Amino acid sequence: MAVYRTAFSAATEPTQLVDELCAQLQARRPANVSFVFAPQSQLRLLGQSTSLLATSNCWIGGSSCLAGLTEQHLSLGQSQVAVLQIDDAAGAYGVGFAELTLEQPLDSLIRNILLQALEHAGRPAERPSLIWVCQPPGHEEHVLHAIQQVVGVDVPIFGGSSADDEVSGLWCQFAQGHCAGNLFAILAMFPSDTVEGYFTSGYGLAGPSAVVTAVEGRRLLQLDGRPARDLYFEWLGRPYNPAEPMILARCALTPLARVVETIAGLPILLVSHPATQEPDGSLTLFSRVELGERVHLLQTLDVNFSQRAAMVAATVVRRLLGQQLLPKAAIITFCAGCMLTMRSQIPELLMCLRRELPEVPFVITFSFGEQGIFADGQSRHGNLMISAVVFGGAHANT
Amino acid sequence: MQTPEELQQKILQLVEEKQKLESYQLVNQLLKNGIGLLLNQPSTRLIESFLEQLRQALLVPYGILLQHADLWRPYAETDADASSEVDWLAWQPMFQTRHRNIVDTQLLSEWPALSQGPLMPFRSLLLVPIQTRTQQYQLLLGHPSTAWFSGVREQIALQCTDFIAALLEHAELAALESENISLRERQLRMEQSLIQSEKMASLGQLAAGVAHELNNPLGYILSNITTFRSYVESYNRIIALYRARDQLPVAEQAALTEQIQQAFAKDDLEFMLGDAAELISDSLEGAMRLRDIISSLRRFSHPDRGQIEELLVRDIIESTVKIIWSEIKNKTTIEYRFAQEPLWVKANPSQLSQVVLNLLMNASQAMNKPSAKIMIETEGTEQMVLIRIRDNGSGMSQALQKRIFEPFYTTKDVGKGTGLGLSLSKAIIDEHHGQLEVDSVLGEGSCFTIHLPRFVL
Repeated sequence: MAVYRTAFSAATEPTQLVDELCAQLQARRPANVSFVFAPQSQLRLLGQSTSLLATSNCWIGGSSCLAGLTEQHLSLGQSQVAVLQIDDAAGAYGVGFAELTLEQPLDSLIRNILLQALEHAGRPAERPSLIWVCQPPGHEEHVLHAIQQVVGVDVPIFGGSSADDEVSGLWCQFAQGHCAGNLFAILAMFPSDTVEGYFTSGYGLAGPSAVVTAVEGRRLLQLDGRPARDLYFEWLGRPYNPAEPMILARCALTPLARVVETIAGLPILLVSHPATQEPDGSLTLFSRVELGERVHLLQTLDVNFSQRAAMVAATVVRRLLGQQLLPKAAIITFCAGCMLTMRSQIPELLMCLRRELPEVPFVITFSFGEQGIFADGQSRHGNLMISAVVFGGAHANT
Repeated sequence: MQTPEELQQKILQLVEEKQKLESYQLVNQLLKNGIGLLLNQPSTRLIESFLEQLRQALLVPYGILLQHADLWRPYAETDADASSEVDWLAWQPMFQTRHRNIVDTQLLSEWPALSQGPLMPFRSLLLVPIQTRTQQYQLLLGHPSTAWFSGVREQIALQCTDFIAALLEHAELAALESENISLRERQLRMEQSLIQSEKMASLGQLAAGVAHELNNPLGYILSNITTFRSYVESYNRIIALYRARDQLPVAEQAALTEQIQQAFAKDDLEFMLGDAAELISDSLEGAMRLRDIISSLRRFSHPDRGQIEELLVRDIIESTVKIIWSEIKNKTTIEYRFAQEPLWVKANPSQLSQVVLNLLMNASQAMNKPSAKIMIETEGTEQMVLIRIRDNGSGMSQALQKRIFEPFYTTKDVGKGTGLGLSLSKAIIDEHHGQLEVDSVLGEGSCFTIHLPRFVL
C-alpha cells in the first residue's frame, strides 16, 4: 500500500531549507519518488544536498512561478518549496534525464531519456501507467510525440513546463540532484495504486475565429491572410501597444484555441496563450498551431479559476470513487498566467481544493505550459490549462 | 442551473463512461462465449477455443498459454504446434508474477535470443501470469505493431484471466477425476490381488492340515475297497463252486458241496456279507467328506470375480470350518449357536469365507489350553445379520484392539503371518456395507462380530 506525504519550506538559506524538508520527509527507507516544485532560485539549492536526495530514489521537479504549494498552505507566499513524496514498495518508478545539446536531436534525446527512466524503474520496454515530464517551455509537442513514438498514444502523459517569476527564461528543471534550464526529465510510473488524471481549460468560445494562413512553429504570422496581431486585438476591441511587446498577462483572460476534438457536439479546446506581439504583426504563442487550422478567441467562463481547479480535481476523484477507490494524493498543475491574473484568489483556490480533497496531501505547481490527457484519451500540450493527477487506493492514505 | 462548463464536464464524463461500458461489453461477450464453450466443448478443447476468442477480440495474430511443470511448455495455442521450435527455457526470466505489457520487443536486450518461431515478428507482447490452485500458467499474446496493447486491451486481457483460470481449474479437476477413477480401479485390482494372496497364504498355512484331512478318508476308502476286493474274490470262488456243482448230476455234487461249506467256513462268508455293507457305507461317507472338503477348497481358492450371491450364512460357516478343521481340531472345540431361522446375506462367497477363516485361524492361535473353545453364533435382526466368533483365549489390550485392523500390523513372529488378514477382512466387510468389530478382554478372550445387511428372500 503506497503512502504519500508532502513537505514544504519557505527558507532561502540552503541548510535551513534542507533541514526543514528532511524533517518532514523522514522515512525508514528511501521513498520511491519525490516531486519538487519551487521557485527556480530555491530549486537550484536542493541539488547540493545529499541528505535530502537520499530520502528518495527518484527526484523530479521544475521551477514554479512564484512558489510551489501544498495542502498545508493557506496562501501564496514567496519562495515556497513544495514536495510530494511517494513511498510505494509494490510499485516501480524510474527517472531519466539529460540536457539538450546541439549535438543531439530532441527526438532521440527524449527517446533515450524515456528508455533510461524505464530501465531505472526496472521495467525496460514496458508500458507505464503514467509518464510525468519536466521540461522547459518551447518543445512540448515534440517531446510528447517522441514519447508516444515509444510507448504509444494512449499512455497518459502529464506535466507542467517550468516557469519563472517574470517570463525571463530563468526557469529550470530538476532531476536526481541535477538542475538546469535546458534539462529534460521524464518519470516513468508503475504505481501500485491507481492513478487518474484530467486536463481542461477554464475557457469557452467567445465567437470570433479565423484560419491560420501563415505560421512558423509558435509564431503565428497571419490569420485569414491578415497580420495575426491586428486581427487578435480587433477581436478584443482594443488597440495594441507597440511599446509593450509582452502581452502574456493582458491576454490571460482572452487566449486563442484550436478545437482538437468534438465529443457529443462539445468542442475540446486546446488553448494557446499569446505571449508577445511582434513588430511584424505576428504573435508568439506558448504552444503550436498548424497551418490551416482554425483558431478561436476564447473567454473565461462563469466559474472562476479557483472553483475550476477544484472541479478538475473533483472530476478525477469521481472517476476514482466509481472504481471504489479513495483519493490518496494529488498533483495540480495550474497555468502560471492564470495564477498571475487571479493571484488574490489563491486562498480560495486552496480552500476549494481541500474541500474536494479532504485530508489528501497535494502539491500545486504554476507552469508555463501544461500537458495532460483529454477526454478523448489523447495526451496534448496546452496553455492556460489546469490538470489534476490523483492517486487512488482501496484505503485512505495513512 | 448548471453552468455550460459543468454540463461539458458531465458530458465528457458520460462519454468516458460510455467508452468503459463498451469495453465491459466486449469483456462480457467474451465471458459469455466462454460459458458457451464450457457447456458445449469437450474439456480438451475449452482452453484453445477461449484463447482463440480472446485472440480475435484483441485483434492479435497469435496467443499461447504455457504451463509450468518443472519447465515451461505449451498448454494451448491458437496456432497448433506453431511454437514447437521455441526454446521456452530461454523465456523463463520473462515470466514473472506480475503482468508485463511490452511496448517494443526491440528495446529488450534479450529479445534476439527469444525471437523464435511465431514470436519473431512481434513488437508488442502481453504476458499475464495465471495461477490455479495447483499450477502456474503464463498467457502470452503478441502483435507486430509497437505499443499494441493499450490500456483498454490490457484490461480486457486481465479481466479474462480469472475466467481462464476457472477453465483451467475445470480441466484440472476433470483430469484429477479421471486419475482418481484410474487409481481407484488400480486400488481395487490390488485389493483383489491382496485378498487372493492372503487367501493363498491361508491355504498355504492350511496345506498340511488339509492334506491330512484329505488323506484320512482317502486312506480308509482305499483300505475298505481293498478289503472289499478280497471279499469279492471269495464271493467269486464260492459262486464258481456253486456253478460247477450245478453242472454235475446230483449224485456227484457231494464233493463240491463239501468244498463250498469249507469255503464258507474258511472265509467267514457270513461276516463278509455283513461287513461289506459297512465297508461300502464307510467308503461312501469318506468320499462325500472328500467331496465336501474339495468343494470348499475350490470355492475358497477360486479367483474372485466379484460375483455377489445370495448366501445362507450357516452354509458358509460350515463350509469354512471344514477347510480349517484339520488345523484347529487338536487345539480347540467348536460350539455352534445358529439362529433358528435361516439367515441370508448377499455377498461374495469366496470373500466372506475368507473373513470367517481368518477369524477362526486367529481365534485358534490365541488359545493354548486344554479348555480352548471357539463359539460360533449367528443372530438376525430386521435389518442385519450378525456372525460372532468368540474364543476364550488370551484376549487383547485396548491399545492392541485399536491397531489390529491396520495393514501389516501383526503380533506374530516374522514369517508367521502377513499382517493383512484382519485389515483385508475389514476391507471386505466394509465393501459389503457391513462392519467388523472386536470386543476383547485381556486374559479372558475375544469376540469378533461381523455385521452384514440382511437379505430377505
